[in-house]
Amino acid sequence: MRVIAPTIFALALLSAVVISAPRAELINEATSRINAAVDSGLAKAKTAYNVGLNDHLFVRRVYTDLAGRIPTRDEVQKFVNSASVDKRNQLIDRLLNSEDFVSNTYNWIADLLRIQSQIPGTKLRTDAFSFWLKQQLKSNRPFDRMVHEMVTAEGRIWDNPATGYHLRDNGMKLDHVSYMTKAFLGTDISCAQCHDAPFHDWTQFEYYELTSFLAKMDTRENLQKRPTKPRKSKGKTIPAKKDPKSLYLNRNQAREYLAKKHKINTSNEKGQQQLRRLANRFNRAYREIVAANELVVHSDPKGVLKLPETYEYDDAKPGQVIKPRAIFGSETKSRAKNDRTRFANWLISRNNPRFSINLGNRLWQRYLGRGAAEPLHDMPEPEHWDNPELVRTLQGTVLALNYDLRAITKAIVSSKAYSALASTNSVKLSDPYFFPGPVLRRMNAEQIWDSLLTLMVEDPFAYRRTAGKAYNDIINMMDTGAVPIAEFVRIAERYSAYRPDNELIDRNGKPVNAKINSKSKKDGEEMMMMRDARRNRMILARASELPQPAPQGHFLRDFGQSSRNFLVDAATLEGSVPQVMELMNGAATQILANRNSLIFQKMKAEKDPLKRADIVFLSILSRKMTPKEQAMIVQELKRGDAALTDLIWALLNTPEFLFIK
Amino acid sequence: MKQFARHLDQLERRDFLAGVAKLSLGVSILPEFVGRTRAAANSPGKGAPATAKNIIFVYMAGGMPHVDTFDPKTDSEVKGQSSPIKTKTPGVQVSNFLPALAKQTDKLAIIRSMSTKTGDHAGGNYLMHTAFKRRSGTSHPQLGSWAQHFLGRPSKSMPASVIVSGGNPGPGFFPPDHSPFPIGDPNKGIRDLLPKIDPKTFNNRITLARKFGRAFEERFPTGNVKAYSQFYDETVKFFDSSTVNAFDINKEPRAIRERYGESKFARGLLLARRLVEHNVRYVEVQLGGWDQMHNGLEAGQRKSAELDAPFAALLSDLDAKGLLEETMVVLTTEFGRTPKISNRGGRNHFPKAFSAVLAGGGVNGGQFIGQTDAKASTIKGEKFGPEDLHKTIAHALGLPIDERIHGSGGRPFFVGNRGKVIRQAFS
Repeated sequence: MRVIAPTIFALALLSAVVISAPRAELINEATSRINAAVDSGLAKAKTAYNVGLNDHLFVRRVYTDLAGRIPTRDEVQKFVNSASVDKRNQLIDRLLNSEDFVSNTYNWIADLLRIQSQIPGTKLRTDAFSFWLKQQLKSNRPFDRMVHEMVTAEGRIWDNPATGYHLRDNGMKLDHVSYMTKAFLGTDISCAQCHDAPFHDWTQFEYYELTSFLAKMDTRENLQKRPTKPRKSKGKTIPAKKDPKSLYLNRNQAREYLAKKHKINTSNEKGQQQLRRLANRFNRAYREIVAANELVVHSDPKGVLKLPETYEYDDAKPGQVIKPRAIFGSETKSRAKNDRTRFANWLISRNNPRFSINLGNRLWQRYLGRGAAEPLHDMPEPEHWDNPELVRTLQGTVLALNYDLRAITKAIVSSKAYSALASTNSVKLSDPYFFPGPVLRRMNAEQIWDSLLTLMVEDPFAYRRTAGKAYNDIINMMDTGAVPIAEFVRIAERYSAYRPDNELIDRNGKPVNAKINSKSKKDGEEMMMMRDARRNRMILARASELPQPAPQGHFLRDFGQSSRNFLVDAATLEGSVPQVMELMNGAATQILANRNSLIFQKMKAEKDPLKRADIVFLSILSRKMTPKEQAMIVQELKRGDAALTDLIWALLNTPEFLFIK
Repeated sequence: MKQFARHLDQLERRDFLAGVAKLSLGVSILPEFVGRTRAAANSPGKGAPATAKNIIFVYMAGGMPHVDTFDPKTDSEVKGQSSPIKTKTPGVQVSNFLPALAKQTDKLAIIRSMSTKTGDHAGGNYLMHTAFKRRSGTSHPQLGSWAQHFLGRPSKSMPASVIVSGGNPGPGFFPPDHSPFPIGDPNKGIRDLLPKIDPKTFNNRITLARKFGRAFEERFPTGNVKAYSQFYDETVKFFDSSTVNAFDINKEPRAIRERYGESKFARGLLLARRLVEHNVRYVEVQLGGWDQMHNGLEAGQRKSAELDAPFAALLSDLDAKGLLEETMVVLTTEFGRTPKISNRGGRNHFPKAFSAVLAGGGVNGGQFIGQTDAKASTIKGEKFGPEDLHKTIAHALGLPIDERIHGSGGRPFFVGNRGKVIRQAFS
């Protein structure tokens, strides 16, 4: 079935998810239970909550955590000046319903699922999958249903974007399952891939049992079957046969066609060279298009999983076929005939408690800086949890709120622990921690990038990535099946001319690249800045709309964005010299500490130098100056205007900018 | 109990990665090498006495054809357009594509018995750079990162390892500051990274940032916050003229620059020499494009020419400066190429047998180790893999090659995996 391509801004048009009154009641109850669980943990440890956050700190934290960026000066002032008693609650609701929340939560899922812009090993673009995930988040699809749909998805990525999940790890089923258990069950079984894991409970046999649920899943279909030649049998001629689906092309014929089409004289060296270039380009496009069409999640009824030939334990024989079995929790009787559906049913079922524990724990870690059970990807057994009641309560929250990500988030960020100041001491992961407040954490790479963007441009959402329909229309050969050479050459030309950057469009649907390229006198400071940024190979769009992950050497990668490669939870908050260089001399800082910057423009309206400094503080640190700081600034301002650009630079280079207090 | 041990182990490991340990590993406690005396410095680990202080790792990306370079044959089926020529060392022959190196074989230990089972570029490249097979769940460090883990950084102002024109491989399972420092264009060095404002303004801003940062640092004196202020100190030092100078090959005399040549690869080798001189322990330089051999033999000749003169210049330059004794130069690739000419007239991937070269840093030159048969396709006798090469380099650096490290997933790892030191290289 062909899914109707979503209109470009379907996202923006969906109505906001409103939290209904009974739901609000459930969330309140969940928050109370979380508070009680943390209270009792703190009481046992004989410690108390850290001090509560003032309005300035609160507004900065919820924006950073929910919107994925710092608040603008206006947003800070509006909140701080509001007299409403319910203003914190209202702000949380507003942010949960914002586009920012979708973008920010997408970044979290993209790390969890290790999403890359192209399916590894091929050139197939995954914009459709990313777009689909954002839609799920926007429409508040329950997390368990989202996972179920991805695990059971069938088809090609343009027909069913949810297949992007299995295609990501195509050709590496065993690894795929170990990523799945880490991401969705907080359990690491990867050691058991090769041997019984000495410190783990999982045997190699069990690993194979679990993987065997996917034994009948195939992610590839051969579309390069050559036609058979006509042959004689018993005096009769059996005509040549061609698989109607096969995209096989005789490349020599293609070459001849190219020579004819481009009127190339192949009798001389120059002509031959020209043809070689054309043929090479065609062949590359052909290979990539065919490989992309070959990627399809489907069922192969004959598929089996066998133990490796190197299997060395007594409980089974090398090469033995393994039957699927749920290795934790239990599988209830299910009518599902398909193993993969059985697997998906078990994965998200209440009989598999690790699924709900994992989600509660991961979200808690996302907002409090540390899981209630660590490490996230391999949670220990309950007797090693610092506060078992907290883990259980978070699990209960997930279940009571039916995997509603917004509702669970709301329950967590409304808790007393979340509303307290971050702990001021170093908290080692091996030390017990009872959450007197969040641990002090640096903003993650995406939060820092998106925050700088907030300081640079009026509308950080001016540009976003499409669902890649233009690309899919070029590359999808399955509706037409095999095509004549001439047609294939035309397709290959369109394919070679395709530029993925054109999928980044503005609110009118115009590619940002075209906009940057077309120089118009009307362009304001912002377009000049975009050009400036692009010269430095930066596109000023949200991290969620940029290539996934950003390329090596990009600001996001320097700040620890996950490489989305071999590790779940690979994003890091560690510091490094390249980061400091970025903040000191990188393009982003240069743009901000420049007289054309948005922040500088905003200052211009103000005449009083001290009020100007105030704008800088509110914009970058979301707070006012302390008297001591004010005294320092008065001193600095004696040097004139330059002091203000220096101030912008300096505040961006303080730890206070990077860390969430 | 097992469960609990595992739990603790993993937590400790993540702590270790979480920056607390980094303060001592990367920044503050650094075994500073003093002076430029011979690399007799014993490692602070439990390794053998070091024979090399620095490593220059020269990587032929795409698969260097052994037949056309260091393992030439006369067999008409495999020789292609190359043939063996005599070298400075009696009994050692190289391909006629390497005339300059032929004059310096007295410095080289040529290993002709390299072999792996990995025939794809990405997998082979990963294996040759880490000594481990690529697999899910673990990202393995490269040798420069291993050396930094065991020995710290040789200089406070310079990175411990640098990779020229080879992307950014990351630190593996070590903390981020164990990443090799990537240099894109050797001609530019670190110029693009420098502040684009005048030094006075820059210093003024730094001072201002420190002033405004102090209150926060005092309120939240956590390891991570401290780490950032250390990184700032370090970066400011990095912008110091002496560091910029170390990365600037234009400071080399013209005669030297000309001897290396103008290609990016040649300039990369020159930069490598300059960097080891300035206390960078591990420098990798890449020469790509060998995979063009798929389409024809000419590429092999062309790439060999790109390798020959600059690499020979590096060896003689190191020698002249007295650096060869303490600097091990390694030349290797992900796999060889089929000795038999393909029907496209080129050579395909061939992991079964290929060559690598060692020089300096305690290596006994003028020898070859291992051999292939007349068709260059089967190794006679003992084979060596990337893990053996890594063990050998680690041994030369004096790293504790038997010390177990717990990486991601709590798995044990050794530098050079389970390889063996290629002892012949040193005798």
